[in-house]
Amino acid sequence: MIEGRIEVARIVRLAEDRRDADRARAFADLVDRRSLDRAYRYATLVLGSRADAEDATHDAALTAWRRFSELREPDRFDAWFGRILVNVCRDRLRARRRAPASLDADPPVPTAPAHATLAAPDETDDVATRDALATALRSLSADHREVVALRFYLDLTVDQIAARTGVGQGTVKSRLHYAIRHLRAAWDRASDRSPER
Amino acid sequence: MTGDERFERDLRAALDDLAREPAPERLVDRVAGIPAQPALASSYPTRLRLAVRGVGSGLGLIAAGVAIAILAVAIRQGGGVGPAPTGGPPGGGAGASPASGGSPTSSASTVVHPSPVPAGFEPLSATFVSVDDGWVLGSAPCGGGRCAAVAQTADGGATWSAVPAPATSVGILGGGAAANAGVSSIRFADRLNGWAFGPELWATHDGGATWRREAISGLPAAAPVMALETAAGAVHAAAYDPAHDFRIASAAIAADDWRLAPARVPVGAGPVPQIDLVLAGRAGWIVENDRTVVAGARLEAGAWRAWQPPCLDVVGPGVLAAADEQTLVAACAVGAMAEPQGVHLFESTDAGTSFGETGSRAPLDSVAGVAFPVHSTVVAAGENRQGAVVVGSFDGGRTWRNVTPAGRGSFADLGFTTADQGIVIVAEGNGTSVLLMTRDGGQTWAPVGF
Repeated sequence: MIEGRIEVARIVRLAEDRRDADRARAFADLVDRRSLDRAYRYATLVLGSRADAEDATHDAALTAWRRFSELREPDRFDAWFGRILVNVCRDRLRARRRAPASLDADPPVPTAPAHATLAAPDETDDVATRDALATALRSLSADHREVVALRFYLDLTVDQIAARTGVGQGTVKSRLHYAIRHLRAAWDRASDRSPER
Repeated sequence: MTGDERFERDLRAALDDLAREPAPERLVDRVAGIPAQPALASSYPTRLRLAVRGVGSGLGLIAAGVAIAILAVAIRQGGGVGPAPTGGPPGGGAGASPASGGSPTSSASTVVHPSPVPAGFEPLSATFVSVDDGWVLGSAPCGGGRCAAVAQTADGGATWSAVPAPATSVGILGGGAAANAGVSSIRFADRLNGWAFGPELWATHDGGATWRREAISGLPAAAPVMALETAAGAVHAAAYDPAHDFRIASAAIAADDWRLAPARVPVGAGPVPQIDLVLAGRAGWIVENDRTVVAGARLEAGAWRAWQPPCLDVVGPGVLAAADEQTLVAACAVGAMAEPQGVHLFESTDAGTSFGETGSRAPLDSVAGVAFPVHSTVVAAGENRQGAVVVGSFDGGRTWRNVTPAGRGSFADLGFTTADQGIVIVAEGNGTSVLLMTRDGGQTWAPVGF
């Protein structure tokens, strides 16, 4: 009887091991290089820090692993993982505001990189306007930066942004409206200073 | 193309460029390890914080703090961490047998019969008290796992022998409560008095023949000691308090009379609070990094006081090194939210009261540690697009060059004993690590065999 119980226990353990291995394989297939790049880049835009983006992406992946059994449809992994990432980034932004750190309450987006990486020498007007946009992105609130990144970087629709962020479509539209108005004003100012195109 | 279309094109281009960097390989590796990582993240650093202290040649004490994450992984990859054999190093046999004999620094010193350094010894942390005398804490295979082991040299690293290690495990900070034990770093003040720490705190007052677990009165027993340095007859330690700040404790090197300073060093909002402790003679500085420089403390006239560290506004971490009690440099990684990005050097000639940028940017994307052996020489360890690399400037930061080959891995240690002699430990990310030494002021570095 005891031997039988041991055998049953062994089979259960083997089955559990197999399930664990299958789960790990499925996780690795979904959290691949492409999805990590996409997540990391989004987090960089929202958090404005590559180091924070790295940690946020890792934390999102860790959360995804712990809640992997909740993913019913692997085809919807991107949206599911995207929601986790949005929440992780928000948590980090909230934690920054609580901390007695040197960061601004509303951390900015990275500034534009060296001009040479943005444009060829004969595209200085583009450089100026994109620089202006980068600066304007830095001054957006976190909520506004979030919707801008989701809309114009991840190419999500308003419906999809609402689902991902958990706010209503009207709120998404409103945030996009004010964010774009702010960005457009900066772009217009820079365009006015640029040579005619 | 309409104005709206041009605006949207430019906005998308700006976003693409701001997010042009792909996920770093380190992140890919971290995520790949998640399915094998059941433990919840710890509430304090998963990094080991290691540094070298040096003595001699009129330079005062030079210490450089280096933060690494890979070593903990390296130890795990090495087969797990087991308890250290009580009273002696793995494979060391009778290494613990003390005998009376002649230390040049004290008649009360103890000589430990030399025994070979165990095969498979991987260095974690090193300390030299002179050009000749040094100790390396590492790990070595034992019983299917890895145990703490200590190697000692009395000839500047030409030969090494095993000496007793503290009777504890190799320390891994973070990774769950069970892993928050052991020691990961080592410092000696002289040939008799030394400490192994991170997160536990152990002390020896007989040259490493025997070790005793230490407690700091006023701190919870589980408070991990994250940094420790010794200079001018005193030892100073920074411990992470569960109340979420760092406390500083000091003692005379031979007395174990730890006393907590009233000053507290707050932690930031990031996940990895990191403390960097640097001493030079009777002066000292502490910088708390939590992805960015957060806070600091300074040792003045024998007391630690709150101090505004450099680089609070660069949105990146900073590390310190001191050439003497008045002169120190901070190497700060200007973050993605500021510009120009990269590792910038800031120098103070008034004991840290003010800093000014100096030299040109170091060719690094991130900096793990810096050493400042003489005013013209700055050596920094970090990462750039080529990989993990040590770079050096021998003209006060104006020009830089690689002084080690770029490779995979992280730096576990960086520091100089004299103007000429220094060390750095490279964790190669595959479970192995190597101790490199320079004897020409950082111009060239060569691996040390045990």
